[in-house]
Amino acid sequence: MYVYDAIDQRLVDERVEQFRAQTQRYLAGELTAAQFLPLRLQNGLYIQRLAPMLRVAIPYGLMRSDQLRKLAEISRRYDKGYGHFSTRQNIQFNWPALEDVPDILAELASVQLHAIQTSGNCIRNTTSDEYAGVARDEIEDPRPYCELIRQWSTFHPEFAFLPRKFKIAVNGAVSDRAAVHAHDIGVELQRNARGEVGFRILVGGGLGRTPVVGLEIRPWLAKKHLLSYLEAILRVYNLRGRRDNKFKARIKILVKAMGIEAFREAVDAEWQMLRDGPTTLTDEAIAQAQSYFTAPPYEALDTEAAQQQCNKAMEMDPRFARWYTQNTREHRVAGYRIVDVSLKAVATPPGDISDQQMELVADLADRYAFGEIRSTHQQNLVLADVRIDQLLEVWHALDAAQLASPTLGLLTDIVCCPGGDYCSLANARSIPLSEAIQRRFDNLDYLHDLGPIDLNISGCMNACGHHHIGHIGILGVDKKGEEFFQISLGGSQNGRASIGDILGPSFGAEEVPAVIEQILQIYLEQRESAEESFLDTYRRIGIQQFKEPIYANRH
Amino acid sequence: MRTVIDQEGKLLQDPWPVLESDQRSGEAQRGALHYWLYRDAAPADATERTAHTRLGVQLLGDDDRCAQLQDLSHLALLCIEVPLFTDGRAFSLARAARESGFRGDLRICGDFLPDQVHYFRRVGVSSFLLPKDSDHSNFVASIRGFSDAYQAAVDQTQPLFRRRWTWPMPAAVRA
Repeated sequence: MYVYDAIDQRLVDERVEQFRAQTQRYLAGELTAAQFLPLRLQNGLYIQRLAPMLRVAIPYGLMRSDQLRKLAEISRRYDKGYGHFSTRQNIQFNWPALEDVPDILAELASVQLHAIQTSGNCIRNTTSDEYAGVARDEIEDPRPYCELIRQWSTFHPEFAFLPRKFKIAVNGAVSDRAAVHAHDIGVELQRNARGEVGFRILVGGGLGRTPVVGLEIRPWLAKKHLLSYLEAILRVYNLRGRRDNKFKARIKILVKAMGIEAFREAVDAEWQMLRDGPTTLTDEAIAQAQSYFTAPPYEALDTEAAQQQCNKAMEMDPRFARWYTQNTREHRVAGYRIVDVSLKAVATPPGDISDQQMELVADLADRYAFGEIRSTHQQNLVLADVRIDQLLEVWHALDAAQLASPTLGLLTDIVCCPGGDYCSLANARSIPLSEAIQRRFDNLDYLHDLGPIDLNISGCMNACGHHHIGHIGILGVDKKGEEFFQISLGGSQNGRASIGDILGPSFGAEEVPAVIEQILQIYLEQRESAEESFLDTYRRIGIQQFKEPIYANRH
Repeated sequence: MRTVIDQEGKLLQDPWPVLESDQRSGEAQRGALHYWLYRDAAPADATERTAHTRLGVQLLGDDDRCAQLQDLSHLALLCIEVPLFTDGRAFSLARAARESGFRGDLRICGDFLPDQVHYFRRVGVSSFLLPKDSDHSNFVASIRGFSDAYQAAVDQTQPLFRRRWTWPMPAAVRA
């Protein structure tokens, strides 16, 4: 975990005082709302439907237990006793009072948390794989590079007033758990022909109104060139991105308009002036960054005995067995497993967590997981390093706190934006629909039989629920002032990334669960075997096989 | 009354008055860039006039590369006008001007916030023509910004990692 030195701490503290002064000027009428807007956004503060919303950064999803406890405390003192984990690994508070925000930021700074650049037309939180450092399929740990990018992008003087927001994700494994193809810049750790690890750079991916899968701008970049190359991309975007139309201002639009060849040339031209300059990473800097993300002191266990103990517990308790199968994963170190903490209990807004639950997870992290917790872009948490012979105790504690729904990666592990209940941008309320779907599909055997299905719900075209890359995507639309939902199928964020295909005309909220059921029925009938996933079946049989039956009796 | 401050926040006796549009001679249009000339108490002689001429560049339109201005070395003042404070191109243009060797006074005018001046200063801006009727104390107060910076820019060409992480990590610390 990165450790702040005196300089890091001072910068965060100075930022708090800067924002305090700006807030005071605004409240005193010395700043107009339009002038205060970019300043508060770059400190994570939205003005929302019911109350301001504060988005706190969790850099690449990694937290210490004391940080999670502080978030619990803040939710209690300044909010309504809960927080919401977003699809970019950040946490959001829905109810802070504007005049309290400088104090909240000061409290956050005391544990090295902040809300810097979590909104606004600047470089946002760099996100990553929630299993970084522990996944079996890891090529190299992405977190040192996330930290280097974080520092480079924080208070970058050139890129604080970009045409639009800018999101970077880094993946270090074979499997892409960071959705790098759906980001403005995606960075993938890869080996070249000589076996050297470097970066494959993707550009121009994104969701929202015009979803696009990112294009490769550079197949392999030596590590030392990472920051200077990113700077070249940002500079081209800053100078040439559209500023006339907010909905055409992302880099994906620029890349499309120029074409990837011309865009690459423009970036290379800028890069020639930066390449090998002072922004080039040194071996020392890379080594120092890597030094913060070393392995914790794993114990040398009698792995076989530990596994046997665990297996016995599973035989005794099928509920524990189900959770073990669905919510824990193989760890690269023998004797340990990765634990997913589900924030998808039925009738809870996906990603929401109460102050008590936060404190429980912090305690479990201290006792069982070396004091660290990760947040995922699918709105769950992770305890990355749990001894196999301690899984039962961990499960009991999580289960008692409604944090153990054994549905990781299944239909009801829904990714859902806050939607119309909270967000002024929304066309529809996503949370009630999420709940309706969870209630309807509550049979665990059925869910397990269906297998892995990413169901994503967005309340509007801004796609904060990432519906475009859901295997089943649901989008809230406003039809004649009423809430309707459009369904898409076949989106994917891993491997062969794809944008979902729209099924057809939208449905009223009450109809949607039944339509989902019909979609699932078609899958079950058409799949070649129980091993063929929903996504694979869809890709094989195509949308017509779904469209025809579903719309046969409608309209 | 126009107020100009330098990059330390000091009020300047500005020798370069802004010409009103009807006074602008030699106003040329190259591509979509508009130029106008700042002139000091100028002699009538053409040669002398050129020697005392400054160039102002206004950001407008699609063509916004500073490379349009081929040789900046003869300029004593380069002024970039920001059309709207949300338009961040001026930051990249200012930096490009400095990195291509411009040593004169690099000025920002137009629509910008006090809270932006420390970023402008970091990218090499040396003076600010404040928006009309603005309270210069806010601009001066914001000029320092933060006590250090992570990334290289013009005011500090060495990123923080080069200044604080300079020794090889001992092998023992890296597990």
